[in-house]
Amino acid sequence: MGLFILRRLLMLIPTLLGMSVLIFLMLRLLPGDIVDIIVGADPQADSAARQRLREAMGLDDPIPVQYVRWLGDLLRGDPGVSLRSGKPVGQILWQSLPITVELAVLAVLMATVVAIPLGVISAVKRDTGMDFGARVAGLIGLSLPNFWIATLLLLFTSTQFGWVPKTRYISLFDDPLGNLKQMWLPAAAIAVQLMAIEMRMTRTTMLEVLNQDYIRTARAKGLRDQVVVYRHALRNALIPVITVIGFQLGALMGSSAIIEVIFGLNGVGYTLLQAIFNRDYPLVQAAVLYLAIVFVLINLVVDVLYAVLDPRIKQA
Amino acid sequence: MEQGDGLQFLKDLARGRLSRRELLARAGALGVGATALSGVVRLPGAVLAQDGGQAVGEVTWALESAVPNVIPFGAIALAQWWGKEFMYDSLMEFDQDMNIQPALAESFETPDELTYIFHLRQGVKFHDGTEMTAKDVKYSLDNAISPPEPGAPVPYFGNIASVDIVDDYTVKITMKTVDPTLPGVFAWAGYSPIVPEGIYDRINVLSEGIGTGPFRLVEYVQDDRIVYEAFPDYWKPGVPCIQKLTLKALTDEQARVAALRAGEIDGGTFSADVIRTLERDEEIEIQRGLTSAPRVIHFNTVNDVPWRDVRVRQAINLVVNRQEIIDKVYGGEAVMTGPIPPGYGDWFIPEEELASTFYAQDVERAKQLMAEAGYADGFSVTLQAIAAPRDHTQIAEIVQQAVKQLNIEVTVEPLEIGTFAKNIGEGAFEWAATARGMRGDPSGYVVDFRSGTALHQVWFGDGWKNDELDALYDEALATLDVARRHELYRRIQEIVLTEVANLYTVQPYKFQAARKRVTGWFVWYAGTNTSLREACVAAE
Amino acid sequence: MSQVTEAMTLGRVGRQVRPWWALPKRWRNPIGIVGAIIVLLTVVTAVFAPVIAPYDPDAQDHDRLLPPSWSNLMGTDELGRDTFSRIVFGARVSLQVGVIAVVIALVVGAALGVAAGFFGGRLDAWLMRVVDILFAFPGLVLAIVIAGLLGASRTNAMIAIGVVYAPAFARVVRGSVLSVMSEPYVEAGRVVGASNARLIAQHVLPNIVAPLIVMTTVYLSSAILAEAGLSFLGLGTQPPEPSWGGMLNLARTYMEISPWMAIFPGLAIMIVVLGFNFLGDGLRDVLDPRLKMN
Repeated sequence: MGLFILRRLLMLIPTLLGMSVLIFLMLRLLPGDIVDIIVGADPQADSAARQRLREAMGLDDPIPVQYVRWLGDLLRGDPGVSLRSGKPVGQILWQSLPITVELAVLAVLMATVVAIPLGVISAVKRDTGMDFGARVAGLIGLSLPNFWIATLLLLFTSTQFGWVPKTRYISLFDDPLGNLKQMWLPAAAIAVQLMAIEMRMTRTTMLEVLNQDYIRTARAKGLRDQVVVYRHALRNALIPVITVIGFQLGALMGSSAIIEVIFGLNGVGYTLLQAIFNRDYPLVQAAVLYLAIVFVLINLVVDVLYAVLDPRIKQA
Repeated sequence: MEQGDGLQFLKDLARGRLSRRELLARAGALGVGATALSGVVRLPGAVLAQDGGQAVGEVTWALESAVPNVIPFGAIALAQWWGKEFMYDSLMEFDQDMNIQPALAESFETPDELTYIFHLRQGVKFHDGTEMTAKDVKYSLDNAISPPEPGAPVPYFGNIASVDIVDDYTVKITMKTVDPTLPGVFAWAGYSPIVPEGIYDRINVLSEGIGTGPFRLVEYVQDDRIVYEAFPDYWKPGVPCIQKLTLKALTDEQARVAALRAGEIDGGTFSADVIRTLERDEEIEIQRGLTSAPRVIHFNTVNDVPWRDVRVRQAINLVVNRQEIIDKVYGGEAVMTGPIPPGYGDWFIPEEELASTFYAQDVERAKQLMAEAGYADGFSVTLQAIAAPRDHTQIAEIVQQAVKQLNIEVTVEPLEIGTFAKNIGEGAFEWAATARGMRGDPSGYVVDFRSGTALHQVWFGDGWKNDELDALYDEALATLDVARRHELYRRIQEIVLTEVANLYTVQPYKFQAARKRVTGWFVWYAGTNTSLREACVAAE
Repeated sequence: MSQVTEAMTLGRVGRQVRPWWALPKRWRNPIGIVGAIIVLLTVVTAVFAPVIAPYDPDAQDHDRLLPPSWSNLMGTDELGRDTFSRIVFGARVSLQVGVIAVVIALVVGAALGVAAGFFGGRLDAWLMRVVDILFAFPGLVLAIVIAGLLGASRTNAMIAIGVVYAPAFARVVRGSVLSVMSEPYVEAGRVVGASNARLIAQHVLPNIVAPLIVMTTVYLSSAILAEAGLSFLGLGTQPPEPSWGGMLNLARTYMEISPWMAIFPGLAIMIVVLGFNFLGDGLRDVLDPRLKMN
């Protein structure tokens, strides 16, 4: 197992390199750059001034040169400064990363706690009213855009209770209660869809597993249903579900951007969005790499779990 | 006659001889005295902190977009202005009615047409405790004229030949040519903050700042918030009144509404339709005011396009219904605008005249013009528009429908601001829906029509120029005669409107709402939140 | 070995004896039927939009923000356009976005996944590394970058969504292929010397159909939602083209003064997404022989 993890870790290096190239290229090919943002939509600076600014910021060098320079700095532990504020990119991300990670973890927790039992019950009690109800509820949850859910939640709490979550992030470690009070609503807005996805996946895989030969054999041998379900079926059914959860957790690392915008939380998603819109290259690059590292590590954990749960994978 | 009025005005102003009534009456003489239209609901007056009293309370004000940085010098977008305006002062400032008032300079004199002498206020402290003197002013103005990286130069200081220190409290500015715009540009403030000498070597000016303003910057969190604290040694007595002012970026309007209701924020800007939902809330006060933001659709005539023919532009002008834009896009809360926006002193062409003369509709005549120009069957064109805020796109959609009557097929292409800005700056568009910002002088609203200027080259090229306008423009910049300047700018606007060099549409009202605990604020014509400098808040 | 034969036989019986729609028992799938009807209705609406819609969806001929009435069944929007007509035309947009984005994801993802899972070894390692690279970008961020790179439009949003979803398909397909590959009947097939193509066609593909259908439906609906999300950020379908997501986002501004503006596009999205999900669930029940054996 140790070797397996080590191998996967080593495989991360080319992955991250590939990503860094990809994101670098994509950004440089986007039309418009930071100079246009600095100068503004209502242009007052002539093109010579723009050009001087571009040169001063090193945006005028060939792209490979820019890439190597950036990578070199990065490996020396210097991801650069924001082109807009001159603040160290590391510092900016250090402030915003906890918010996004917490949102993602909280949302996934909320979703999983509800979805897996619901999915299992739905599968076991297949075609009953219970199953039907759970499926339809899940499908409805799946059918609402999250910005819409978030807006409705905000509208509801602000008109009914005169309350909305604080927009200034309270660290979990400083004030756990205040933090949870602030985070539960945005996390819930994200969790609705996750819940539906996980529930459906659990139900599907559970149904498949329940129809596998070995389960039927076990049943035929007279093992009690509950034991069959929970000991054998669930374990196997959860393997694909874990992939999905891992994927969701990682995907939320940036995809919570919409929710962050609506709740005014300056998480990485929102920071990234602003940076992309403003062509703040160093920040975008570093943010995406940060997120990617977190994400890839989550995937690694998922793969390891996968291997633990399903010994067949290791051989493959 | 020539030059007399303007110069006398400057002199009177400099000596503080003008009464408020006279100031109001003569406001706009220099293109900077814009009186806000009626409709601004004013409070009986801010509760000023008692003399020598402590500033109290906290205010959180929402911004519609994140502040990219707080750079002191160079070209800036409105959001940058929002972020930095509270920590800096300029030599002059505007009051509520957009009249020029002394600020860091107590007075100035103009011994001859090419010389301004500014007498600085004594005992003014920077946030770092040092005193402001002439060397700081020289350092600041030199940097304003040619901004250090990453600042991009602005054209407003082009006529300054030199800035010289006379003594610790006197600065002399020598001009290359007669330039009546300087005090206005200073009062406009965004491009000429006074900073301590050598500030660029001491701090990161993009995210930190040291000024003489009523608030000092204590925290800058990128894309999220800027926190200001009252500066107790501010030179204006009783100011600031608020102890802590937080600017919070909340880009989603529904989020701002919810946060304002719940008291998470104390105020912010809202659209005309959304403001109606806040009217019911007794805790919330709403104010309406004009800001300088005329909506305009640019024709690009550089390439071989149908509207190099003036008749095509005129035909389009004849079918675009400004009233429809006002009603549909702004729920009635906007006024028609020409090149110089309504509310900008008395330089603008009034709405009634625009509606009856320049914006009168006549579809038949338009079709006839199109036929004469040889485009009876129309043509296709792409109309770029700023995607957010949405009203630019909505105006574009209305125009799109309107010109269908002329068989012109328009593809509306909303663009995020970065791309849009690049396209506009480079002239990479056929047709583009945008807005003009605040200008320190009426010339700023029409400079693009002067052939030979940078933007004229990329927007109009050889497709449109007007010799009469060029001559008028040059004369207007070279005279201090107020009456003559009025005539000149009036005629320039008529030319632009008749030739339909750009398609001007409307000037929306700006709506702001705040919790009633905040007092003394109002909608500021320049589009900033400047009134918060002297606003107060009830302690919790 | 008898198990293998049984499974193979059953698999064939399920697919070959009679077409599935002829089996009376399988008609008894209310969720699937409802889904099929909804999807069919949506398709019909989209195809015949010009006939069904009472007005030009872009014409601003009415008063703004009107409540529903006989002349404007769903009211009008902020520019005085008929909401019902826009919803009808919007069906085209939403269907197109969902289907094309997912087809991109499905084709790319399934091909990668089958290849990786089936052939294993170095090919697997390399393919999965590529997938990892794509995958390691947070989905929405990648979509934003791609949509921004190509320019904000519906087509580019579809491409962006497709590219973002493809790795997920690849992963799930690969996972399924791996577990199918270790099933006794596939091993048996190998033993008797079946060709790769034959193994993939006869055993692997049929056995990954079920998870693929579940995924496709989930992602079809979520592609429609993702486009709405991109519209929220200004990168999806561009006005004045009527897209339900864009309409819904715009309607948020008017939620309190003109709620119907938000209700109808919201309902449209919900119903169509539900329809696809219902249909997917139903199809899965019907198509997957293993689930029908008990």
